[in-house]
Amino acid sequence: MKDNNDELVARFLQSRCKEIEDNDFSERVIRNLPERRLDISRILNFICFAICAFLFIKFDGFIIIFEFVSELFAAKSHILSQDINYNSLFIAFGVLLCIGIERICSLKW
Amino acid sequence: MGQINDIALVAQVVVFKNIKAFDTLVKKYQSPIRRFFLHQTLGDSELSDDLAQETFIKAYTSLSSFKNLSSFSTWLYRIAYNVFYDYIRSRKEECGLDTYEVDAQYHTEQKAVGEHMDLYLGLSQLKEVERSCITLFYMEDLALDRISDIMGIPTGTIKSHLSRGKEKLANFLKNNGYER
Repeated sequence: MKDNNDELVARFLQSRCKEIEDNDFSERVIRNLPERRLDISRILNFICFAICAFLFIKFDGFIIIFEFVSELFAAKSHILSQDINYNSLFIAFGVLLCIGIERICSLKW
Repeated sequence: MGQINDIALVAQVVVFKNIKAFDTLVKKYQSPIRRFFLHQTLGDSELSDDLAQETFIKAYTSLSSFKNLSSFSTWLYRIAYNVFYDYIRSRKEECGLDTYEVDAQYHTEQKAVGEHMDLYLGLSQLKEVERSCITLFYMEDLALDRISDIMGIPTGTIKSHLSRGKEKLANFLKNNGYER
């Protein structure tokens, strides 16, 4: 009786055991691997960076920045030279110097 | 020979991050792993493909932990088995169902049409653990000790599940005129 059951079940299940076609399944798995995703993200980053760099150079980005900074500096230096407080400047310089020395001394060699 | 090939491919993936070698492994094992899920989910092909994909991705990310104590296919089946039981656990938490059987029956009525309907109806008579044992033993032709490795339970318990599952399935088949 038990052998009959075994034979019946084995025959039924084995007759329904079929190979499954790949149908792009493996391609889907490879596409979704974490490193592959990382690679795609790196490529996209590089492409975006290249486009930005190209547009920056094409529209004279350096000249625009240089002009803007020089205008800003000229305007501010004119204002600064009029009412500069040398005492405050001296104290600020002294504090920064102390902090710098302390940081250098705290480094482990 | 196949086992040596598998180890060579695994080594290429781990050492050189060779995606082509992993692709070869996926192509080799996609059919048994997808078939395993198809039987566990009672014919839900979309779900079984998603779970199979998760299995291969998990295998890829933890390939360096493959110690060659068992064959690569046993190791892969163990991941697949864990992925399936994690899925069941998450479903139970989400839906608040006590058993997966209710869901399984629903799937059978909804989707298992066509040539394999009788197979999925038969498998739906079994508990999940019995279904895993029966399909691994009869359809994937795995030995008891390998099934024990995959499911992480003793061989004696596997034999009990197989015996109970076989009896239930045999009764279903007899009641549906498959005995000749």
